[in-house]
Amino acid sequence: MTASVLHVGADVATETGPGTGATATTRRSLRAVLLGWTGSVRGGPLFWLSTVVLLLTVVVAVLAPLLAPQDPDALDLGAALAGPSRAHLLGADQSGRDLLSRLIFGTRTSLIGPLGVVVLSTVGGVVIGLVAAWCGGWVDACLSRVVELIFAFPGLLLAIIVVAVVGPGVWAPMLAMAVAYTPYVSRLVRSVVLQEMSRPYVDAYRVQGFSGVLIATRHVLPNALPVVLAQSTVNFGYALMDLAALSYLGLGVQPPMADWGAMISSGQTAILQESYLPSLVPGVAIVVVVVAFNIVGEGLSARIVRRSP
Amino acid sequence: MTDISVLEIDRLTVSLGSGRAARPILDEVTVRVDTGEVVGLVGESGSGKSVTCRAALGLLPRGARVNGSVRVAGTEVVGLRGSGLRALRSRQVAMIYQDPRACVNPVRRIGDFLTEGLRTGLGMSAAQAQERIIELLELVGIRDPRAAMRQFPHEFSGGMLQRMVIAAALAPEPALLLADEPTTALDVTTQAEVIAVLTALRASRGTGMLFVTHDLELASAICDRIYVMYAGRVVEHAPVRRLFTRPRHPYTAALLMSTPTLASTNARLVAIEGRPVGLAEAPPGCSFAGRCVHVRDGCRDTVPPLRPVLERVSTGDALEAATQSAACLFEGELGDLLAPRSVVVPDAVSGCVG
Amino acid sequence: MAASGPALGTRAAVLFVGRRLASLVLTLLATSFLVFGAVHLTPGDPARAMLGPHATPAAIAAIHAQYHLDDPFLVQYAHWLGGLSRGDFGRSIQFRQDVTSVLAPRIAVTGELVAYAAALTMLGVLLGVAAAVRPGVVDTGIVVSTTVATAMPSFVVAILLVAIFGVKLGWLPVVGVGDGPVSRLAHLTMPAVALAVSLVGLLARVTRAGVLDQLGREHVEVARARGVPWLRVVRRHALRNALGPILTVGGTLVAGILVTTSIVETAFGIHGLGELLVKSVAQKDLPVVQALALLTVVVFVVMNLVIDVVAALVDPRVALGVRVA
Repeated sequence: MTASVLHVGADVATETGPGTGATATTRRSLRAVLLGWTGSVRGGPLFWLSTVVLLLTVVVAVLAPLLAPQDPDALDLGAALAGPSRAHLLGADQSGRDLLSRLIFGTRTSLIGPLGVVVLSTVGGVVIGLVAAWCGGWVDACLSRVVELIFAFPGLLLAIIVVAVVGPGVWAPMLAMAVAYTPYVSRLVRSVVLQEMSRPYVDAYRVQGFSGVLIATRHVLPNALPVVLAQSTVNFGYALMDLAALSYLGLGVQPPMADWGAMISSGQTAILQESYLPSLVPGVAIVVVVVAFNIVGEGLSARIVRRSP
Repeated sequence: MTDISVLEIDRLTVSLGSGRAARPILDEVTVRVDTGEVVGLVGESGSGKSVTCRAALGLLPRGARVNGSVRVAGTEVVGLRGSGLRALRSRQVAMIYQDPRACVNPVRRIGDFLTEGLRTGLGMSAAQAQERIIELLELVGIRDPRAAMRQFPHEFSGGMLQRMVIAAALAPEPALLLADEPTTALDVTTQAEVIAVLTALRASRGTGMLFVTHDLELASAICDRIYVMYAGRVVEHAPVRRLFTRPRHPYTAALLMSTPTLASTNARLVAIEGRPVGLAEAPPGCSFAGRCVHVRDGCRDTVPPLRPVLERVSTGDALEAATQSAACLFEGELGDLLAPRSVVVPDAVSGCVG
Repeated sequence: MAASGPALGTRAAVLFVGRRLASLVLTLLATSFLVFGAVHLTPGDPARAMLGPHATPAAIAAIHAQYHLDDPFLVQYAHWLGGLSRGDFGRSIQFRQDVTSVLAPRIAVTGELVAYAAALTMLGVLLGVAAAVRPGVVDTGIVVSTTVATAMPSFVVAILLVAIFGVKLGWLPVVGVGDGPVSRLAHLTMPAVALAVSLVGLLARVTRAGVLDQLGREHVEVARARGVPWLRVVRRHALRNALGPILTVGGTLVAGILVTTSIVETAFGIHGLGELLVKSVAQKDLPVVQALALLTVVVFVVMNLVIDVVAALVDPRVALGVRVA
């Protein structure tokens, strides 16, 4: 999945920049519309269930060496494609490696990549959006141009090009995805900051002689952060899907490192031998975690919308 | 005036939800509109006037529990559904709304809106429907109706749009016309135009009209009789002149005192204390008791029934007296205390609007 | 009374499209520069990559001369741009032929796949409308299933489909594209579904939200109060008015399919553009990567332009590029 495709929700949810054309109205009205969708889940049991799922996933990632019953890289060709048993609770893959252990260790790589993407894109987006909104004028115009240029690149394509140039691995796709996700954050920050700046308290601080930088970072930014946090939570799920896709294509995390996307790829041939678990298990893991991220992210933004005047 | 009622609402009680969470909205509301008659339904927001009005269209909120009866031209509306309800809506009743801009689909041409009812409800061909609409558009004062029909709603002013909505409402020649605050969203000059259009139509057609408004003055300009609603109940009902000269419910009297009029320059305006309440928040007993300046012992104990006003002093218009009723326990005792300090004759008002 | 005559509207439209086309050209120039620059920075000698490890210095020098590899960066870029304008994307390293002739035979199958997936994606509109007009079980069912669908990456759907319909049931072919229209349709069904699942979910959500929003509006109540049949109200008022956002999102989704084909074509062994992109990246066949990247960006940007124009067409209140109150 490409970032741009999956970000439609986020894309339309944000204020459109200058010169984005005729769809501005429809896009803006969509924010309310999309958030309305989550009315049934926000704050409800689904929201909390998803939160628990995410926390558990993090715990599993952190405690992987303690939780995994076996060495995820230990080969046992005798057990290749073995079904679930006491020795291998979820069975073994085509090299006889314990599936459960690989799933548990795969949580680490599958979370660290998106975490990097989200942290980098959030920091970058906040800085760019804040600077663009605060400085305005030609700075804003230039930054908006750059952001538009990045929007013209589907995230997955950008990552593929970067991998083509520097080679596969953990870092290249992560950095490329971070670049591709930054515009979504920066656009959001820019619009929220512009909104905040029109409020009287900013002028009040200015009159009292506070410096622009201080007001921006101490007062305006904290008010914008909840929205950004909600967006970044949703981004996390999408980044996870995108990076898993790259690993699946062999352009991301390289074997034998345990990673959900790579596991699906290597388990694919086993499907033809009617051995479904090696690719199905990581597939289900991806879907569950992404669903949880979506529900939590949208639940958060619904809460923010409800709280704001 | 005539012997046939186009609208008979009989002890209509509506509540939302059920059991303990039920929220009452209307309590035993009775309203009648005869052929060719214009009847006002006046009250503050939350009084239930819009719900009463919409009940005539079978348009009650989802999950509403309804008791009583609503008959339009002899057809029972409560419990009506499917094609029967559609037939009622497309032929018998039409409605004019508060905000013409909100009630016309903004992305379709205005002609589509105008003819849609005729095409889908009466099965007219597009050409027939267009003919009928063009006639009506001329009637409500639209120049070049043919060109207007090809334009989009945002290309018209609010007053123009409201005229078109009126034309669309009249198109199926309904027995009953409902007007829910049809001038509230318009500017003052346009209001006068729209009222003029409605008054003219009233003269030329036999359609009965229920005119819903919060503005007693406005109602007096166009209506024959007025029902005053407060917190989901009808508190007074009288012919217009009677209501203005001899209100028999403290709420009506208070409304009259708080309404600025052109005719009464010397009378002081007196605002009603407190804020209007809905039936759900209303206190037990008389729901106006909390704001009433004449409140006495007993007001908060029982809900006063709507009773015919008994006239002790013969004033000559005994016929009108018989048609007035009020829901106040002490209506008889209060008597002339309620009479407005400066008498406003409705004709003076209608003269300035029409 | 009239806000704008037709003449003014047309001029505004022409101006708008013209401005967008100019910005499209600029975007493409910037993109090509970035792509070319990135590839230029790649370590390793392209001549050596082309000729293999045992090439003689003379042969390498010849390639350098032929492809102007020793010219300054900007000169090389200008050469490359000049080639692009003549439809010359350079030479593929892995196939040892012109990039254009490598791409040409693959365009059809990818086009068919994208069209098939785009058609399936429209199913989302139906689901969204169904959810909006049938509160309760139908709505909840659609909401839950589309929430899950949205989170299903195409490769996960692909393995599910292969496992169920390819292996377990044996209904559909798992690899390749087949010959003849029927076989082609059968071969492309699972890939198209894999591409469409998450998009159906997203489009259903947008549609449901848009239609619900419209159903709550007064003009819809008015239409019902006039006795307009319910289905017609849904179709001609609610859905029609929600079309703007549906088209905007739908168009963006469809534009994105082109990139996602790289995953699905790889999963199903379809020799299309997407699979070519992945293969070329693995083989470091940079001229092909450059060409495909540019092609994708063109489609993406053009699609966005089309979306904006269509969005303006479906809503008379939106003049192109300007918003009329």
